[in-house]
Amino acid sequence: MTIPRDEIRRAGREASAGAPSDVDKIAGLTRELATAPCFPMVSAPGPAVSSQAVPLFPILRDQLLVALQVDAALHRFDGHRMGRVPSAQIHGRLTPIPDDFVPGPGLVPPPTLLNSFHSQRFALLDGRLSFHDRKASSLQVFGSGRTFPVTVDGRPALRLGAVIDVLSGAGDLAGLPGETFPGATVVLDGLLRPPDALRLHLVLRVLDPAGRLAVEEPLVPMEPSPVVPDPDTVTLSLLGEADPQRPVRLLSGPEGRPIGVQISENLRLVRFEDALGTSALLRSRTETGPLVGTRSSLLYCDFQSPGAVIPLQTTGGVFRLHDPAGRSLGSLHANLVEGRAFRAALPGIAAPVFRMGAFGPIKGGTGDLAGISGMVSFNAALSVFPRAFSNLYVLRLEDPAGKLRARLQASG
Amino acid sequence: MRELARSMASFSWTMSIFGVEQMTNLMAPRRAVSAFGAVTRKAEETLGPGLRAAFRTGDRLQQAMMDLSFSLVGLGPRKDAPGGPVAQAGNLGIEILQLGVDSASWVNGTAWRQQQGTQGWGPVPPPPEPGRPQ
Repeated sequence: MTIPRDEIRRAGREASAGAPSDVDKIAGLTRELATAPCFPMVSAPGPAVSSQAVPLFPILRDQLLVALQVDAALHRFDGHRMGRVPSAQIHGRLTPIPDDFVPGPGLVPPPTLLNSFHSQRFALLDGRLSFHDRKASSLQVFGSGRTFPVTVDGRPALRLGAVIDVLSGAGDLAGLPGETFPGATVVLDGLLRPPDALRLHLVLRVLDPAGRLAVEEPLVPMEPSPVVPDPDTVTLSLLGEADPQRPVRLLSGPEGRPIGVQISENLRLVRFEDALGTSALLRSRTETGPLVGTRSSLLYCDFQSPGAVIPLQTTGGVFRLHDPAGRSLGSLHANLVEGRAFRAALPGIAAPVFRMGAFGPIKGGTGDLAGISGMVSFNAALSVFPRAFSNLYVLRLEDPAGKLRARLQASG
Repeated sequence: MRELARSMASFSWTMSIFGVEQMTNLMAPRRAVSAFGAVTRKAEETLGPGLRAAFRTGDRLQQAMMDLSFSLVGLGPRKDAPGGPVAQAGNLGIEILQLGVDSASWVNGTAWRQQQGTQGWGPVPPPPEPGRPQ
């Protein structure tokens, strides 16, 4: 659906006029987007991750790979520890694709060799996410992403980032995408040590205007596993909220066509609880914490594109982080190099809302964050008219010496 | 026939003038990179799917050789970095093997029959010129 230009001008005037009804509508929509249920998950290290390298010819065994068949148990992840029992399982085929290829569900890409030395695109084919809840809920998914070559323990490895769209749901997620659940996005990041040692982090975020999955009361605490899935990594989950001093602005192209938005946002710590591992229920609770930073970026996305899927990216992305007392931790430079936006219709909102997923590598930092590497993933929902958003950033920061973890613990 | 001859002559003349323009751009290499890139993309758009695949493979192979050459004379990233000479030699090896795989699919015709999927899942285009906030 294309947004008529007149509507854009009218909505722009109304937004700047700031009529009370608009303010209420924006506040209500922001609350609705911010409480979209989230399910962060991590694959367990060791034999629970049963991925299998697929070579170009069977005789080549682990050489010249053209795909990775993934079949991994996923556990709830609270940012440091994981649940003792698996709460879901992911199946699918990660397949490298040529740079100019347009993948799609059910489409077999041309054979493309996995290259550990060069960034490559890949697609997740035949994807399925099965939850261990009472209703055996499941999702059919499709997505694409990119590899980022790194060196781990002196050997080439690949960081992975991917945006995954939910095609259909069953069990408690039946009818997805539809009126009950207008859409859901999974953002994946991971590490592949070829041929088949794979670590995956996933965040599923579901638009849930009826509040079927979101709960407000505390859930039974997670029973943690003694195994820490990523001891050398600090994970920060941050929820972006509008900065009243610097409102979201539309970016226009040469012909006045909107080509994106300039976003300045305040970042709040956030954690998610779910009842999968404890009560076998697909329920989620969002608990926000103190403000710990800001982010500014230019987000490019052709919101007027008639397509159901729209590519997106950011430039000039900077996180400025501080501790809850306001003492600066430094800044991180990270752009979302690849992302997708998906249209969704929310009840009571005339213009479409966009679900968005994206990822990108961290390209350096300052202060206590100087020299940090890692990945940023982005799982968001944005309404252009009225302007409201809820941006979830998950920062995965490499910290093998534990310095950053110590600094964060010292500052509370 | 006359139109063909005329357009070929225009093409040759354009290429000559373009070459002169880029010689003057050597002092501003970014502008030259952008100009060469734009012409390459436009030329690539005129290719059919099979030849486009061949073009892409050859282009990646050339770039891998160029990266390795620069690394070997000390103009690349440091040796232990992911983009160092060892990684670039590995990348070149993979690209040569991929050329073989692509050639096989070009010869047996699968390259020409390759279907494309859902629009929007393709490569992310380069960011537009800096936008004007409203």
